[in-house]
Amino acid sequence: MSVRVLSVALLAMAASALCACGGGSGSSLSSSTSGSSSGSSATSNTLAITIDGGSAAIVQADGIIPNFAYVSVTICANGSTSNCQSIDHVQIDTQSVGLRIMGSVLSASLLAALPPPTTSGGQPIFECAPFADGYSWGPLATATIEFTSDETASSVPIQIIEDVNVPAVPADCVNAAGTDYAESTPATFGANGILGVGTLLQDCGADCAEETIPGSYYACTSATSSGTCSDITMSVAGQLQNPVAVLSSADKNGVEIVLPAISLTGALTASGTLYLGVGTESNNALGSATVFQVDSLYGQFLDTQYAGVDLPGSVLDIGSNAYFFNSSIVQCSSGFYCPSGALTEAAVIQGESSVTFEGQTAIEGVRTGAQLPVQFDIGNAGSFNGSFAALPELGATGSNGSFDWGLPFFYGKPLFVVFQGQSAVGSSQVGPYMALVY
Amino acid sequence: MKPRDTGILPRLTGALLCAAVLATSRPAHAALGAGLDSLVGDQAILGGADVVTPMTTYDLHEIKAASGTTVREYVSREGTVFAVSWGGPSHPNLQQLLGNSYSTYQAAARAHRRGHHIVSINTPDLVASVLRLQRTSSGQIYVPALVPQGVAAASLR
Repeated sequence: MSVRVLSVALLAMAASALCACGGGSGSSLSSSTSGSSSGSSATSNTLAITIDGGSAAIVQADGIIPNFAYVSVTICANGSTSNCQSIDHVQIDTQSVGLRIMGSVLSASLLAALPPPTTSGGQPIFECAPFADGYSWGPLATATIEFTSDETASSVPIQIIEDVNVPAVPADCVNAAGTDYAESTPATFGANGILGVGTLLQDCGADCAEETIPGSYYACTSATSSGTCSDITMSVAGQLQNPVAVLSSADKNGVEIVLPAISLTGALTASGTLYLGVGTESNNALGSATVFQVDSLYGQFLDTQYAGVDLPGSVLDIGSNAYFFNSSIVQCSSGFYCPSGALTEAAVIQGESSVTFEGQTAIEGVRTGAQLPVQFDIGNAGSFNGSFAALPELGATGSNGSFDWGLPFFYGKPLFVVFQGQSAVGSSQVGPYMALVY
Repeated sequence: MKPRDTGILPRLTGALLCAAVLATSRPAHAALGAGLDSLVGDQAILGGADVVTPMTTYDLHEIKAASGTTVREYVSREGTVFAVSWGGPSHPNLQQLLGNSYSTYQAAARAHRRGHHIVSINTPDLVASVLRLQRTSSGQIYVPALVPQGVAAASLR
């Protein structure tokens, strides 16, 4: 199925011509996705996932990005059903929270209808999203998100990632990120936006409401390049919200992400489905999935035992595009694993109720729940077909004390995310947790 | 009780940064690769006490920052910081922590991109492993040439 309708460049050029979507766009989206739905659901709760290496503009700039799962999301001016735009190639992430969209892919008329919210003093509010490899900077906006024809969330705080005619990035935003690399365009970010559907309900939570935290929320003297910005506290309600958790329907308790099983040698592209809700419809039942509680403080960690080492800082991370873990497997110079022949490795995954940090690998985790022995395959990254967007054997060195179960692990293994304080219909377990059909 | 995150470097001003870097300036490096005096600046900025644990061939300095993040600096008997590690709710200011190695780190991080959550660098000049998630950061960075003989990298937790 083809999700990509327009290239980023075309979106930018034809900006003002793209406003006639609204209901029409929503219904076309739902009709295109209902065909891939496995169940007959009364409510349209499915979004098509595509793994195609990126939009034309991204591929042109970066080459094919393997193992990025993209969806299309329709964004509207808040409360509007006509000033809307379907944004393709929005990456799904289970280790962040909130919808962030590149300002450069939004039409001028929609952008104009998404002014940043302001502080009580009238100053526009901006946000810094620090990542390991850089940062994204830009104003907040309050928008209506149309996931499907039936599933709409209104008055949702989102971030517009922008580097044109906005205040300079504050120094403490750069410091809070790993490097000074600005991820402010589809090419530098690898996507037109990111849909963070991790287990938590906000990106920062109570901490940001209680005190200023460098590298989070800012008030600026102007929303233009003449503005200067300083750290502010931000109420929990004003923060970036998990956009699925603010749906008005019962499907706000979590998501299920289903990717197809594909040949170990890879595939040109792959298609899957993002289901809204867990156990709420006929197509998103938890079933026999193994439940992994994630730590309640950070809402992300679980335990992995690999090669005799306990890794309590592990994560199930659909937003990482490889298995990232440290191992004795032969590496290429790039740090990707390049064994002469494909290897089948073994590990054990288990939930955690809490973790405490000392140094990086001095993480203590309190394990809980079922242990799931798993196997995974690591191939020679130097011999993969460079035109393939779906590479199930892609692995690379990672971070000490952690096994980052990236997207390749989830080909053929449905992943559930049940949000903080929510439970799946048919289960008494309360989130935050993730669950895997293995 | 959730650790309160005041940020590991509340309001680091240009002047303060300048002072911190100047205070740690040794001929080759500041911070990582720099002398013991760089720890004094780190301690002040991180807002925590420096707890020293003597090991066989080095001293482990541990500063629990006000943010809840623990920063560890590994100092050789010659007084050189050869490794740093951290873990907790906030990300340390790597420009301060790495000193002159920061530019090496940045260049290598760009050359070895791993997506938004991971930095993994293994070069003769610098070895780094960083995990950055929405509400946590942890990492280990060291200069292989400065690590005292007989010290295993895995022990630099």
